[in-house]
Amino acid sequence: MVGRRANKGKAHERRAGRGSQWRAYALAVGAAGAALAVLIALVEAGGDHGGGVGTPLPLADATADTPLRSHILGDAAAPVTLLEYSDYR
Amino acid sequence: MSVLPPLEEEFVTSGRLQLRVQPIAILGGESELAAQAAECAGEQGSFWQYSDGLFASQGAGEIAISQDSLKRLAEGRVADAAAFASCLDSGRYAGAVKAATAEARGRGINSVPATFVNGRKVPATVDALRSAILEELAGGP
Repeated sequence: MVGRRANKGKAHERRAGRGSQWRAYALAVGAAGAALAVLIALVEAGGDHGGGVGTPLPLADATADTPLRSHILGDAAAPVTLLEYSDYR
Repeated sequence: MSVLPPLEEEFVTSGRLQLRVQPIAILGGESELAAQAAECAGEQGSFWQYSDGLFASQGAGEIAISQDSLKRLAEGRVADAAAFASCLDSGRYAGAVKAATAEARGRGINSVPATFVNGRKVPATVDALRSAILEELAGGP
């Protein structure tokens, strides 16, 4: 009886252990999904490089919370492009 | 100080040149704040008006850079001054300005303005840039 009760206890522990494993697995899947959603949002936010006025430059936008924008003036088809890095102080 | 305005009239209006400006901050905390302010103005399509005003005000010694002075400068230059103030207060471009600055330093840029014509680094003087632009228009250096 005692032995059976002990065995029941072990079985309960095993079930509990499997439950913990499933919870950990579910959490891992959820975290991976969230990370994928963030990655997709970042890609979409930076997806219009090289377009018209106010489009982000490739630089820095993968590491920043809010991407910087390359401020553009003039015809996108112009044969010459002048890029200026500027400090506003 | 930007070297772009003299070139804008000469080349941009005729469709021969496209100007791109990337704000960075290599001169310290005030630079970072000013770059963030320019980005916040850019959210409302007022980047050029605001940055011109910022340069002019500093050149005339009319402004010491601070949150308040940058907000005052936005009045009349952006459509929604309250939204501009909210943007600046949020600091939402702070990380991006730091990252852009780090990347620029990684490219060897340690003074401003730093200018590139069709990807070629050119001294940031009106004469040097004009020559480089004319070379490119003539088919390359």
